[in-house]
Amino acid sequence: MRVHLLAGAALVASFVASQEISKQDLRKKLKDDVHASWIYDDLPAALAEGAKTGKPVLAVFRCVP
Amino acid sequence: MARREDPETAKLLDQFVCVRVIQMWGIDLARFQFDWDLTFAALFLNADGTVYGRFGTRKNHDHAEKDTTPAGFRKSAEGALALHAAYPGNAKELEGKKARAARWATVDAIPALKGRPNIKPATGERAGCVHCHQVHEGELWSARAGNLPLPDRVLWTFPSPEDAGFELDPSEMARVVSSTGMAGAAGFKAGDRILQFGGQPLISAADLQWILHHAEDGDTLRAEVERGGERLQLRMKLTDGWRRKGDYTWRSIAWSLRHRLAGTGMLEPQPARPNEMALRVKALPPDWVKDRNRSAAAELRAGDTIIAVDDRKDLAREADFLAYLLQKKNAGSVVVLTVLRGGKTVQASIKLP
Repeated sequence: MRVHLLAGAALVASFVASQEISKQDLRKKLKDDVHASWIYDDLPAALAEGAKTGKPVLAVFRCVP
Repeated sequence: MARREDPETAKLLDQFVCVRVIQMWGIDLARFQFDWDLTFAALFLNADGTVYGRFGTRKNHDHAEKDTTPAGFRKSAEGALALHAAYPGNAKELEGKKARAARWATVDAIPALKGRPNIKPATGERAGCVHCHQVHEGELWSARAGNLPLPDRVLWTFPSPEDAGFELDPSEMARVVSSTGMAGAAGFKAGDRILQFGGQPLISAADLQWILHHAEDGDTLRAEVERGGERLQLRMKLTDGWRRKGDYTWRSIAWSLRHRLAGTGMLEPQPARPNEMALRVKALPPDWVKDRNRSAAAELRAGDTIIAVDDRKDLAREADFLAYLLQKKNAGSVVVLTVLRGGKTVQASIKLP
């Protein structure tokens, strides 16, 4: 677990040091779940999709990764 | 937590529109409010913005993964789906879950965050993410700079259920494992499933925290519990200063309080002196901390033990000491610390920002 945390911290630090991350790069770097059903970093799009489908919205606030 | 590898979780996630938000840039703070210091937080919402519930809780340094479990997440998701199925017939009881008015609408409007490398409006090009915890930090320091009130709620934010006397099962929505203090006095018992609290349906410990966070000392909160197949009504009175029993120093905000006010790193209570003020300065802030209190750095040494501040010797915990500096001393004022150093008692006068 500690190794995972350290790896996660290193990854976050690398992002902080870098410039704006493209959505495409982000999706590649996120290893936990790149399933098509997840919308990344776009709350308005999620709410619009919820209105369209009638589904409730689950918004997870979580740094990378 | 919300991973699709687990079939049960995947089945639940399929019933939601799932969005992962990785940072706070552009987020409407008047609509999306939760415990900013968490490393994992979730909101269950209707597309119209109605909040079904929040998820994510933590009570101290060591409990990030003990208080938040996959089983508990699944239960909360099930609870959210049930509330969604009953919506809008239940809209009135969900009113209290709505976000409150926000002093600053977005992170770039928070005065204390202006000028940070990752807060650059207009172009959207930023040197890194805007972290959730920066909202709490920015609001707190902006309030101090603007001489705005800094009530206990600002520091002891989203109080742990334990601070109110609840031990909850992290694998359930809101099931009582044991009760003491205010919860015990109200009659909550082991095994109770808390259905409603403060007029709101609960689907998580975070929902309970939301209600406690916004409640005032002296309030009496009504609860409905399921016990042995029956539904019971309980009332819990919040005693004066109850939230101060908690310890907020696991939160990111504690680092800026240490650095900017006390001019120190972590302050460790001394086990040999449990009931008196004896806070050992573990370290001074490193040079790369730009916002450190340089007045304090010139006066204090690593290894010093703070045994009094002004005429106060009762601030035994780091949380109480830092709260004193923040809430009782205005910007520009001076505090006198009495410090043990090498067997001698010395005094250090520190000007506060």
